[in-house]
Amino acid sequence: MTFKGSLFSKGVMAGALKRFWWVGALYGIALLLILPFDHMMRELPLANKWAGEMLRNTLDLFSGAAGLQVLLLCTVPVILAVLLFQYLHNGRATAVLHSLPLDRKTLFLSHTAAGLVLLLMPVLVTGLVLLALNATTLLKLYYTPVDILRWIGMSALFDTLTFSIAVFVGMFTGNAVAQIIFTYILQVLPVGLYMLLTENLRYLVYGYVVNPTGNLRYNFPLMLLAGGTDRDLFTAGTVAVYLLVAVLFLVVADFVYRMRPAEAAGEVIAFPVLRPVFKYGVTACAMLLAGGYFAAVYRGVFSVIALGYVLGSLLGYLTAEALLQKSLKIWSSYRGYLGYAAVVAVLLLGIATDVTGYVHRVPDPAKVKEVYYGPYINYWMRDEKTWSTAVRDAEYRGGCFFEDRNTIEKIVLLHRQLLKAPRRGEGTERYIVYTLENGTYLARRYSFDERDYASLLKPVYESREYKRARFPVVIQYPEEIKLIEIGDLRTPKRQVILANREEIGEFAALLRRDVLDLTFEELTAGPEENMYADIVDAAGNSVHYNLRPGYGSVIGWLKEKGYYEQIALLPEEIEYAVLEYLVPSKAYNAGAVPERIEIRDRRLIEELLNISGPEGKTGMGETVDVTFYGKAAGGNFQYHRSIRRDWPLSEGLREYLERLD
Amino acid sequence: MIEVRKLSKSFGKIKALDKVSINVGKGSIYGLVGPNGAGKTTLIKHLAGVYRQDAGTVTVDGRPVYENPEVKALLVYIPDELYFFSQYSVEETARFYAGLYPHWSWERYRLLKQVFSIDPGRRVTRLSRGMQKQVAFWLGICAMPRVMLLDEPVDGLDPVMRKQVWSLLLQDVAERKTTVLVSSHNLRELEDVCDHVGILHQGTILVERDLDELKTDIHKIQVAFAGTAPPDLLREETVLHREQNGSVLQLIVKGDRERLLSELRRAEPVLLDILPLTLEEVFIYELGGIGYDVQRVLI
Repeated sequence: MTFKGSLFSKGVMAGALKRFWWVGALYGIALLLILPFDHMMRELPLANKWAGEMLRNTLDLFSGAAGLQVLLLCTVPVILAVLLFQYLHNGRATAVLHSLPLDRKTLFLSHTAAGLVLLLMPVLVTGLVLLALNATTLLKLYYTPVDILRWIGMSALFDTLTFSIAVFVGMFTGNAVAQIIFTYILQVLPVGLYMLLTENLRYLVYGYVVNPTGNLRYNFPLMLLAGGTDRDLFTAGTVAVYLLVAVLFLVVADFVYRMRPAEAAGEVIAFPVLRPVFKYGVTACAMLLAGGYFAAVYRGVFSVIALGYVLGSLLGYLTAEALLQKSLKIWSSYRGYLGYAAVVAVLLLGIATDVTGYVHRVPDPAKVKEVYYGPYINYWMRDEKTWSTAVRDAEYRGGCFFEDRNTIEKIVLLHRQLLKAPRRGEGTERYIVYTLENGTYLARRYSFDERDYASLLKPVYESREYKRARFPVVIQYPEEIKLIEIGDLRTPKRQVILANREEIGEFAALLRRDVLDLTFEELTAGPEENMYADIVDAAGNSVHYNLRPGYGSVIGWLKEKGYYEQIALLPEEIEYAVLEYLVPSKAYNAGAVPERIEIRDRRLIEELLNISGPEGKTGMGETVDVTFYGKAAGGNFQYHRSIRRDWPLSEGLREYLERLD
Repeated sequence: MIEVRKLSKSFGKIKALDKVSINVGKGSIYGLVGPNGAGKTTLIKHLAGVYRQDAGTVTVDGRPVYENPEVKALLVYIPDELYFFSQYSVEETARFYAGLYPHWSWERYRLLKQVFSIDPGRRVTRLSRGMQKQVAFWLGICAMPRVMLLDEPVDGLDPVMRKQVWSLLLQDVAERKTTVLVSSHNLRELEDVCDHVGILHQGTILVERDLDELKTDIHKIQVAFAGTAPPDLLREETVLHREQNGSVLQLIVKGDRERLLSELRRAEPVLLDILPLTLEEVFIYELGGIGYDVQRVLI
């Protein structure tokens, strides 16, 4: 019996449980099979630590070993929410249930409570079975009751959260399929919309920088579970916030339920005021999606992006309109689209004419405190956040902060040059991030070939600031160095380790001199690495140096000390080299055997080892694969490299290459 | 018992109800008549507390219905389009209702089991539409309502069952003073049971009448005179319709029966007859006067 003031109706709850008990039962069976049954059936390799860890990981929703559970967590609550509130989507059921002597709050709470029981019972039962097995079997060697309790808690949390979101969404629609779709769209929407917008702006606005979203602390459960969240982010506080959010979703859902008109059953959007939001939301998303796709596939030409916008928005608009009107005769509602198109046209015009001045904003060099120039925005963000020069100098991450006025001026000049001749999609990506005197930042991203701006970049790359950032040895005290390991990647010869203080000092000083002598051209050349040195400091941090052929002082020292012969590949160790064209894998699969030429001429072998030239665009016919076969102190070895036909080759080598054709 | 004041409701751009007012007294049977799409179901769903009105008031026993479980406990609504939980048997559905309606009577349930002769163990959704309707009546009556809202109630019932259901309802009205509001697109169906009728057309109540009064107030008279009829015949009365058929004059007149008869007799007719009027005819003449093509309103 339901009396005035009671929040739950026993009859309604019992009815819901009676009708949908099977969902809970299936969920429970699935969980029992995935966890306790699976754990019992596994052959437990006591010695194998990794296998044991894998077993434990099945209780960690974020570990990747719980894929099936994640799938259930993302679907079962949604299905249950749809089934429980399906009466809102069916005109007959709506009429009958709402004519019963119950108010809407009671109906809502009774159905919600039944849903939570059906979701949480299976988790609880599975947890209890796991606990019982843990207490009685060998499983206790792999995980503890605390692990199980944490699993119960996390599963319950995510079940509740997803359920509350699905219920919340269900209040806004009168269609079960729409409820399912909207539940997932809502969860993807914040991140997805941000990505769509920035991706489009990246193509529309020259120099636009996309802030990486990184690992968000709070997100929808679908994103958390599917995106491989850092489980360390999940503290007790986070759990409390999520629980609060779940409750909030339900409270709002209850409120919306009472506002909801009963005649909304069957409508895609239950509230007339929200229909334009849905319509233009779908239109805008479809527009951005199509625009982003066209931009990515057709290399960002504006007219093509615009075509994508027109097609995408039209498709989105018509789809939304057809869904709302539940009819395909929607041509009469073209006015709304025209209005939308006008608004978008104004926005695009604004972007094209750079109304905000974003594109052409270049700071006054005098007002720049420092500037970051490099390929990765993430590193800039990390370094800027940590704000510690010690950390900045410790490791080169492909970018550098410049405080020198001259260098800043050069980069500002480069920035202006780039704006004069905008080019898109070619060359390498470089970020310019100014830290201004007033504490604000100005960040831009461009793609260009650095060699085209050599005159501006030469002083930048050859500056002491850059060298210091890229090659810490420049400012490293020899006393801080524990050891230096020197080797050659091409040979199996054993590396040399310098541990003698005197030798370390000498080597570091010479390396510093060679590094400071490096030119822009050498620094931007393709990094083919043969010999290297790893400098390990007292704290165990290792920094890797490529010992370039141009490092005269260092190589001279190595030869003088007799180390060179011990570690480096010597031409006389090569027995012969084989030249062959790279055959496209397709032709290779069809049975084509690549043409091979063996070279035993010592002079030519030496040329093949040392020759270098500009890195061109890799054309199949241009690149020749060279394999060296040799025998050294460490045994027989092979070493591969590629050369290009347009390099300055000797007459003799050219003859060999022609024989390949 | 049921009072609706200036009730308006729109679905999007369609105005389903426009300032509808009706008044149903306790223990009376009110027939709501109108063609498909007139707004009958919409009006009833407001009375059942399913819809929330845009404007106006809907009260039962002086209290608003919407979101008021106390009032809704007095009501039973039997919709045209029935809905039962898919896995429930008749017995289980009865238990569900018993838990919700405070005055539920198991005694009645057992008594009526014989009338309907449906196995209570059967699943309701597996039954035919007609049998489902019977179940709805069976359970509805057991809830001991003070108001019954019936939307096209006997649709889909065979004539025997139809009669039985009506007699059950009438018995309930007589015994317990149950108030009944019943809708139909068929006036003839309601003629024998209702004491009040309201005609709903395009969202407004065209006319609302007490049937007893109506029937005693309008008369169909056949008169014939030896020569031509006197031109000033019944000049003082409201003649709704006049039709000359040979020498026989057919008149539909509003007014007191005895006074009309004595006046006609004074003109010395060779033939004078008062014929019975069907409810349909009453409305056709009544509404014809207001300018409606009634034939199209009432099928």
